[in-house]
Formats: sequence, structure tokens, C-alpha cells
Amino acid sequence: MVLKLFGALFSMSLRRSLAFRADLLFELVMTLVGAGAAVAALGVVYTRTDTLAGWSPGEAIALLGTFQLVSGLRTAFVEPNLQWFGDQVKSGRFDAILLQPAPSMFLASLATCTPAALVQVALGIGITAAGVIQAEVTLTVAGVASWLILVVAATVTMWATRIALASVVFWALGLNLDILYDAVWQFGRYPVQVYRSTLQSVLTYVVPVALLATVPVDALRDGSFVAVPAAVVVAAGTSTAAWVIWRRGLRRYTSATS
Amino acid sequence: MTIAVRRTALLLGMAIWRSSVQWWSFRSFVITLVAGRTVTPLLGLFVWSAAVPGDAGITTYYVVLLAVQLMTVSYEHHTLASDIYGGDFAVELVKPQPVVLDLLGTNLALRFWHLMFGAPVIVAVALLAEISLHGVDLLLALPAILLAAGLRFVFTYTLALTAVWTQRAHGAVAMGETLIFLLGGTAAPLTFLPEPFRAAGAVLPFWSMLGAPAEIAAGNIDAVLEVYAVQLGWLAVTSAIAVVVWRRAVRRFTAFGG
Repeated sequence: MVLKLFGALFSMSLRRSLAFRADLLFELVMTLVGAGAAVAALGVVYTRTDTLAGWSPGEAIALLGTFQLVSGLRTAFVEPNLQWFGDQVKSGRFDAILLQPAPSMFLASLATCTPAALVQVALGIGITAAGVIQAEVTLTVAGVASWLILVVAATVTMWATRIALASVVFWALGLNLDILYDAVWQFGRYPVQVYRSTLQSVLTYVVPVALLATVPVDALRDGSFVAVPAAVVVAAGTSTAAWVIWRRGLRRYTSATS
Repeated sequence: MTIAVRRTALLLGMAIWRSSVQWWSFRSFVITLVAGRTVTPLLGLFVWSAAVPGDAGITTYYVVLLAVQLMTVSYEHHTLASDIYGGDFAVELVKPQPVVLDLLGTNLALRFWHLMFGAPVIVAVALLAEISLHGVDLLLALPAILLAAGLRFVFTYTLALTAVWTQRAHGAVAMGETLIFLLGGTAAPLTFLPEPFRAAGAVLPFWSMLGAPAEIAAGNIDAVLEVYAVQLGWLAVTSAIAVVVWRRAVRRFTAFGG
């Protein structure tokens, strides 16, 4: 049922995007430039060193590609709905979501999408593949399966934490944490070993930024399932927490319209 | 002439005061903006410290870059472009003062609050990184910071004016910011870029907007006058372009309603 609804909503968003072809083209160019800039910035670092916190150039490129993949999913499906979510609550436009015959958390976080951002997902996969080839990583079935599960877990964690953060608006109407979330998110584009020990621990155990790309690519190169249970528990835990926070937030919502 | 200058200064002062008070009421949002703006220099600091450990010069550079970033932020793609899209630009056009004054006032007020809220971060990072700065270098950097601040404002203002022609003014500014990231000294100090990007970066305007003042303050540049000259040249060129774009934009702009 939810999948069918998601498919219909995606189809509508795709048709809407195709109606504005110049805008679509511009978005595609922007995505290409963004990905190119990220790879170029990493390339410059490796002109001065052979390894970055123990990561070879190819491995770091694979990590960047994985980061781009999850970022692309976030830009395509989650951000178009939850960016400036507080404005919907403030203005009362959120009522329209509550009146729909579908779970409000699903509609609030996944009702519309920007299909052009899926190019970033494709680029992310391509960059990851290029990195794996450059690093001469011997791929194993276990490694690829582990990487896939960890990327799915990272995506679910991203969706859940984004909802939890957006729900803060039910308690503090003037507080908009979108930019703060994005700022923390950027720390995922490099291996967490780059950061100093305290920050590294925070980004691994408190704010699970390490799960975004460092942990999946680690599993890919080691061919190990060690990190999978922890990542699945984090994904399940954050999803449950997001659901609880959302339900409690809804109880506080009193609408802004007459 | 003197009266006109005095009146303009008074109007600008009032615009800064009005905007400062207004933004103080959105201080939690401004703090998240500061967090967003500090991320890229901090990432640069972490990554380059890991890539070339023990290089005190690069640590100093990125700490100063963090301060310069906060002193030169520009949000005209939100202020000016949003006014154009919303039609409020029409109201600004009929006011008995140059439109740019209020925008400049907002820009300076935002920079003031960015520096105030960002100062604890700058001091904390400087203490943790154990950097040392020389008073002479900081004094020499002051004119460069002022020129960079002016240049960044004119550059963003001109790009934001594209809102009159397209719905993608935010994208145009994002493209400009990508160039500043790559060639302006955020991805890497200019001297770390490979040729021909290093040579191109030195003469293009992006380094003048961000990296140049940071390099001077960090004591990495001897030919300071040459840097001022390049910055002044670009400020003159971008200002001339801004005037041309402004005239065409005003001719093109239409609004309806009442």
C-alpha cells in the first residue's frame, strides 16, 4: 500500500519536473558541477600526500561516492518535504497533510521528490565504482552485500534523524535546525579518522555520521559483516525514536488556521 | 555633494541598525547560519592537518579563513532574490533611496552577527590549534578583508539579480560559491593547487574574495600591495558589471497586485 502510494507520488513529481525542462537541465548541471568539485577537492589533497588518515586515494574516492549516493537520496526524497517544514506548521498548511488518508509521517517526509537529484545517486555509484577500481579492492560477495545493507541502514537513519529534527518545531516554533543538520552532514564526506579523537568518537557514537560512508566503505574493502548488526540497530532505533517524537509532536499541534 | 554623502551614510547607518535589531530577534536561526558557514573551513582544517601533519602554516591559514568567511558572508540570493520572486522588490523601487542601501545594511548586520556568534568558535579553534599570529600581518590584512567583503557582496548581489530573468537565482549563486570553494582557497590554499589552477586562481576574482585576506593575515604573502591591486581591480570590474545588470534588471522587472 505504502509502496504503491510512493510510486504514484514519485510519478507525479517526475511529470512535474519534466514540464520545466530548462530548470531540470540546470539542476542536472548543478549536480554534475557539485560532484566534480567534491572529487577535485579530494584530488588536490592527494597531490600532497599518499594516504589520508590511512585511506588511499581510491578508497577515499569510494567513500566520497558513497557519501554522494546517500546525499542524493536525501536531496531527492527527504529534503523537498522536510526543508523549511517549520513554515508549514507555522502557517497551518500542515493541516492539509493531516487530512490525507495516509500516515502523516510518511506524507510529511516523502510526499514529493526532486527526480533530478537521482542523477547524484547515479554519480555516487559511479564514483564509488571508480574508487574501488583505483584502490584495487578485491570485491567479495560478503563485502558488496555488507556495503549495500549499510547504505540502506544509513539512508533509513538519515530519514529518521531528519524527521526527528524537523519535529522539534512542534515544541519550539521559531527553531529551524535544517542548516545545522546539513552542517553536521558535511562531516561525512571524509573518513572519520581524519578528525581528532574526541570529535571522531562523537561522529561515530553520538551523531552517527560515520555510518554514512566511512563504515560502509570499510566493510566493502574488508568484506566483513561486523558493522552490519550495529548499523541495523541504529537504523531501527532512530526510526522508532522518530515515530515516538512525531506522535508526541502531533499531540501538541493545534493548527494555525481557523 | 557632502550633504548627499552624509544622507547616504545616515540612511545606511539606519538600515544597519534596523536590520541588526531585526536579526537579533532571529538569533537562534543566525546561530545555525553561523554553524553552516563554519563547516567548510573547519573541514579544510581537519583534512589538511591530517594530510600534512605538523605544518603550522596551514593550520593558521584555515583558522584565519574561518574568521574571513564569517566576515564576508553574503545572502543576497535570499534577501534580494526572494524580494524579486515575492514582488516586494516593487516596494523597494519606489522608496526615496537607492535600493542597494537596505540590502547593504542587511548584509553588514548579518556579517556583524556572524562574527559575534562565530567569535567563540574562532577563539576555541585558534586555542586548540595553538596558532600564532603577528599584529603587523593582521593590520595588513584589514584592507584586504574590507575589499574582499565588498567584492563578495557585489558578486553575490549581481548573481542574485538573475532572479529577474530566471527561477534559478539560488542555483546561480550556488555555482558562484562552488567556484569560490574550489579557486577561492577553501578546498585548498592557493599555493597547494596544481598548475594551471594556481595561476588561474591568483588572477580570478574568487581568491580575492576569501583566500587572499587569510593568506595575508597568516603571514604567507610578501607582495601585499599586489594583492590589494588585484582586489581593487576586481571590485571595479564587478561593480561596473553590477551597474549594467542592475539597469537591465530594473527595465525587465514587472510586478502586479496592490
